[in-house]
Amino acid sequence: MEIIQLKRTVRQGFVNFWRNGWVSLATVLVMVLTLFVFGGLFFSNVLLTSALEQLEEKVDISVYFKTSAIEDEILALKSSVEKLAEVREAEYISREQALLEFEERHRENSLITQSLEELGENPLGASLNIRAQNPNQYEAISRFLESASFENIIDKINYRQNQLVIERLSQILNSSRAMLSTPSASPSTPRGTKFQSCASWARPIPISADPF
Amino acid sequence: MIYFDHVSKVYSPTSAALEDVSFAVEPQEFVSIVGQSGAGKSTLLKLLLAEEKPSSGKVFFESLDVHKISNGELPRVRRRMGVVFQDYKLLPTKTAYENIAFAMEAAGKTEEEIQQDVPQVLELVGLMDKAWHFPSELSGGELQRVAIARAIVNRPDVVIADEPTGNLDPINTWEIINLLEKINELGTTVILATHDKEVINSLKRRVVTLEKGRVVRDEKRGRYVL
Repeated sequence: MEIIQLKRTVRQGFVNFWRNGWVSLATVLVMVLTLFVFGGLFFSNVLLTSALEQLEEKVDISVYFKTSAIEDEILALKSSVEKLAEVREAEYISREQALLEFEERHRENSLITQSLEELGENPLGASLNIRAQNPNQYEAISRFLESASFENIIDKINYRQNQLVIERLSQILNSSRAMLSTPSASPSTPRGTKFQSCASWARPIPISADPF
Repeated sequence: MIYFDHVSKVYSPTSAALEDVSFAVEPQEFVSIVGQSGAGKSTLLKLLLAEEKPSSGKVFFESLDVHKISNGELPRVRRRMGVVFQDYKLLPTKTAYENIAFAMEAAGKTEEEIQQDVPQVLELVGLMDKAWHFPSELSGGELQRVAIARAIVNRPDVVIADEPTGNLDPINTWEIINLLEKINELGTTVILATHDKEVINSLKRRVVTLEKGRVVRDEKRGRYVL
């Protein structure tokens, strides 16, 4: 009995759909448009969120050390920095590693390769890439690093020279996030904690002492 | 077959729609119930269909007191009565065929039964050529014939027609009355509520006359007298 009723209901549905052709067409069109708009919004949301997350991953500040800086002092500074609540991650790149990466990057450039050989020693300093919990905390981290106790080993911190760019990017990201109110963002992550200030667009390679 | 046993219906304390009405309808009888508007004709039919409950008295359909039947059982009893209304009450989005078929679907008939019976009943009411017309495409007389076809398609024991010719011109009125007589000749009891004097006088069948809720006359070959 239920099968007959279902069959009759479906048949009547098709009959009415056909008889009210224009209304059916308009309804389907509205539904398609609605689904398309919602789908488009959802897809854009996912895309934009993904782009923001990728952008955030590239945001950090780099600290370049003098070539004369002793590694133990740098590592001591690293552990001090890591103890800061604001710091999410600090990655140390030694002078040797920096040189290897530099050589790898300029392998095709014979002039640079020859110059390095003529120089005879590693001209690059070590560096420290620091990621903060929150982009607003880069200022505080930078001030900590600029304190007098590290003056003798730090050559340059790239936060100041990128400060304007970082702040503008932060504003754009903040606005985007507010607009999106991202459902795809990880709920376990507090809003903004993944947000990084931008010290460089690409992962910085410590070549501040690059003579070339 | 049908028995009204001292039935009264009071809507408000100051006026009674029906007062101590008693009469019986035999199987295959053609009974006209006449009376002026407000005499209680429609109330009487509603009591028979158990749409209303009597204030006192009983209404029997065969041996069943229709007001003591459970809600689950009531549809089965109602399926044994076909009803024709003055305003047709056809579904406007269904064709004549579909309106009749829908009554069979609701009664639980199979597709084979529907395909067999609907054309037959359409043939009986003379509307085979308009089977696929919508109500908006039919005249008043045709609409009423579709309504009658819908009422008889489930082969009821009794057809109850509540002023079926009220909205029709004389020619269509006679077509409908002839159709009801034909249905009666085929063995179905017909109860016709009307206030059409000419129809009653020419039918020469039993007439129950109601006046202010009371049965004032019940004649075997009655005339319209008020």
